[in-house]
Amino acid sequence: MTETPPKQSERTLQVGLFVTCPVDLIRPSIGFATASLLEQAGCDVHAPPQSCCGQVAFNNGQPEETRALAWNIVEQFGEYDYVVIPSGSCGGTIKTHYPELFNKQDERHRAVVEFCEKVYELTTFLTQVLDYSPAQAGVDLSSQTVTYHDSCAGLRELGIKQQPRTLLKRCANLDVTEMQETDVCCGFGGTFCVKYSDVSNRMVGNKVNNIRQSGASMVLGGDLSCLLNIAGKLQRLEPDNPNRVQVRHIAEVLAGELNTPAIGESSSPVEKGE
Amino acid sequence: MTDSRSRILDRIARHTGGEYDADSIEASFQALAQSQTVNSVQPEMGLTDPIATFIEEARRNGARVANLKSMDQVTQWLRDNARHTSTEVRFHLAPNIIDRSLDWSGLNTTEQTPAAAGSWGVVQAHTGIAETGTVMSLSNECPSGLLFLVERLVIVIARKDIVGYQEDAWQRLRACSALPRTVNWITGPSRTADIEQQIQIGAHGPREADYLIIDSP
Amino acid sequence: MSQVQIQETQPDFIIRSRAALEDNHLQEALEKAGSGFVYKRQAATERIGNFEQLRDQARRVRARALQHLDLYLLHFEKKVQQAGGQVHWAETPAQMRELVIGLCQEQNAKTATKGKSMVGEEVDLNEALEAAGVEPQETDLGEYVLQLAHERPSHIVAPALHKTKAQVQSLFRDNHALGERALDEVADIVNEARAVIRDRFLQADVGITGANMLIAETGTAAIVTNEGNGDLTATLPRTHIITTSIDKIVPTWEDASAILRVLGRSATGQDITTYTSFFTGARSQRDKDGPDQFHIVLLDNRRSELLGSEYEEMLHCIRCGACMNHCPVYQAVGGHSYNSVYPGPMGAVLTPLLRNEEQDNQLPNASTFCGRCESVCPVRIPLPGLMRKLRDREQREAKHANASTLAVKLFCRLSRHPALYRKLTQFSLKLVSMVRGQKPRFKKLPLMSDWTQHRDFPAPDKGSFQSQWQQRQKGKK
Repeated sequence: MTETPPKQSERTLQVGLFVTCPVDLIRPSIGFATASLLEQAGCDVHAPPQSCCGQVAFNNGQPEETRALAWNIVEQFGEYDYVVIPSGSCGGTIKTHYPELFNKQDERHRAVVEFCEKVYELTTFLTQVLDYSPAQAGVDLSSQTVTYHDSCAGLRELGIKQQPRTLLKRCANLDVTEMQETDVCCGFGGTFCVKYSDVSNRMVGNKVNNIRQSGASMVLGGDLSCLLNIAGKLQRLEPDNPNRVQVRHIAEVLAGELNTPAIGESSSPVEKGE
Repeated sequence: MTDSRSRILDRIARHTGGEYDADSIEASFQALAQSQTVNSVQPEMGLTDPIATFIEEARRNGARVANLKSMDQVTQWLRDNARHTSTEVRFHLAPNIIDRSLDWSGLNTTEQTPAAAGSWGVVQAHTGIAETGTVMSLSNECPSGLLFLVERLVIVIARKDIVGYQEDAWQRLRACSALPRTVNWITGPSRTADIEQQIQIGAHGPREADYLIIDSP
Repeated sequence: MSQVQIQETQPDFIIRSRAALEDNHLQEALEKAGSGFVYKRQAATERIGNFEQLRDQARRVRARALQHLDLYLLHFEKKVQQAGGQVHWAETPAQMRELVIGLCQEQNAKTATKGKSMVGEEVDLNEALEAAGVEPQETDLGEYVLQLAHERPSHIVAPALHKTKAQVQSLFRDNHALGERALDEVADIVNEARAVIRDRFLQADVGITGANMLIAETGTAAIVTNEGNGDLTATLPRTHIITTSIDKIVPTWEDASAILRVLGRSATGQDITTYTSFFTGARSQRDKDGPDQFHIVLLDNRRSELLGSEYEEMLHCIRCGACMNHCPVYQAVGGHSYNSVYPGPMGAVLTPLLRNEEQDNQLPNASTFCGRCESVCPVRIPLPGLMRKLRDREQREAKHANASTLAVKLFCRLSRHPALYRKLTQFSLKLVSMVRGQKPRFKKLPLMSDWTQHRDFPAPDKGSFQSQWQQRQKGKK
């Protein structure tokens, strides 16, 4: 991208994909689904070398470490028209908190603020920037009962509520069956879930109860971390139930890529974990 | 404890930058109040008719509301309503009710401390506030304790004394010659939710609250 | 009989919360309170068209009050004096106790009725009064129950939220000469308390209440209640003492309205509580009743040090309790787990600032930063942000880094070098993949037992996203 870029309207949008560490390390299929979606929506997708957005440091009393990682990201992704993230949590860290990490005296402040303006969480990018609506749905889930967990940072830092529901209707012909307290935290909370594992366990227990009571066969969400927590609890509670609720990231459904087994599941449904 | 006082104020002044001596307090306060006139933000609730909203909000908050043509009808209303009770009713009257020289025949009035069942208080409110269905009573007109010690509180309020919002009540209060020791706002009967968050009407104060709106006082 | 015993509490939130999760009475009580507060607040805020603007206005009022706090306090003091009252200043809890006891002794008081005061709880007033020979008599139903149980409040609005009806019945049976009186229904319990406490109101030498607001304009203290006990406490005895803190100031009556309009709605879902009372000085000749003596004792206890600091916004707090009502951590473990007068999110910020004991560092960490507290705070205090600052403070002041801090640091250092990060993580994933075989998930993982104790962990894919992406891009070329 060293040559003078043509006007935005004349050329394909260049999108930097920041997949987040959990997706990178545990469930790459979400990253590929996101890339595939963005490509279906007409973008060129790039995934430069990347690591952590700094959230772990930011929430654990290490602002210096966070600043270093944040500036890394700004430099690494600065060249793209947009940066898209399949996570409200990491998206919220960047979009909401990066600007406050670099105070106005810092010469990098302006660059950081400008960078954050082009950072988007996936479902917000698809609805609000691209108004993405495929000619026909990639999968049809209209016969299934599916519920949605609103992850906290996405909901409250980035205002993600309607976006996934709109896209599920457009891309999978799906009306979400709402669970009770869909906006209450699942108990993940980064290091919280291991530092306060008993409290976290109670919270994810409540979440899983609400999911089951909704009657859904599948629960979707926009943040892998929460989904790992929820899937892990569902599987621990019902190890032998082949019909237990399946857990997936919304990007997989929107991209119509359901061949990968659901989170923590094997292709043959009764296979047991260890 | 003057030392504590000055140490606390010094610490605050370090951040506010304030410097006041005893004589400049009033002037500084007034100057600040002048420079910071703030427009109130009132709740949007479609309040066009204060009387109608007052009645609606009062009922929602558990008060009973009745409409009477004139003050003369108050004692008859009391007679009619006391008839339905099993215990004998004793009426505790606020001075501003006694002053109205109504016909109390057949009604048992008393000046004793209200106690146990059958004690009804009869008082006249200074102002009614439509916003929340609230009545305002002032301790220079009615003893504050009376409002709380009776089993059933009957509050007489003139239609002309009902205003829209809290700010209107403050204006009426400022128009008084001096602020009374106690300004009471009452909205419905006393209640508690301290046992398993179940709302129970009738805690330490009255178990019932009646508002009598008088058309022409 | 000692009225309040200091219970031995574990100096660790994790241990206390674990016990709370296993306490069946507590869990039953928490479940019954459940989401009631949440729905009531929501209904109350939706009934009017501009609740968000009311929040903005309340926030502005609080900010303005703090901006000139000294002037407002001085004006308040002057007006109280003009109205025949006195203002006393306490820098520390000990000073406040000493002042209140002194005032009681001046009146030769033997009994003091008490309305709810969180500042009174903050300074442990009851024990001090008892030790000085003044019998404190709690009159708020919840506080009364707790006095019988020798326990502390677990919630700033509903102090006995952690008690079940059955527990209250049992306390009353043990402490009241019940005779034939019934105790089955909530109404019976309330009536029983009403009957027992009524005489105390009439006979108390001193009444001690808190205050929700101090109005600088006229030297007026406002209290907001539903039961009516606060007014009977404030009005009937010869002496009325208010224990409150310097941050409760608002400039004018209109400003008081701005707070009142969000307080009830946020706390209990009421557009206004049953009683809102405004006390200005002592009884004058024109008044039909009221106390002859009126004293306001103002507590600082480090609040003045928060002014102008990065924590100043915490002084905006109007003590509505909405943050704890909406906090999934509080809802799971209850208020006592915080081991502080102030529990939940507001307590997790305020306790380390006001008390600042070693154990208090746990509190701002015991949050998932879900942000629900901030989203309902009537004065928009950025509670997660303040908790994050306290986590920063803890790390800055830590004498030695613990294992989890070092792990985070190490991870960050590695993350600074994405290429190295990619190679290392890819190598680790290969290792894991060799170990895991075909298993879709793990039930046990070394170094992650806190996770796998309660949940499974999915087996990662065979390679990281980045390595697979690199392959894919090579394939494309």
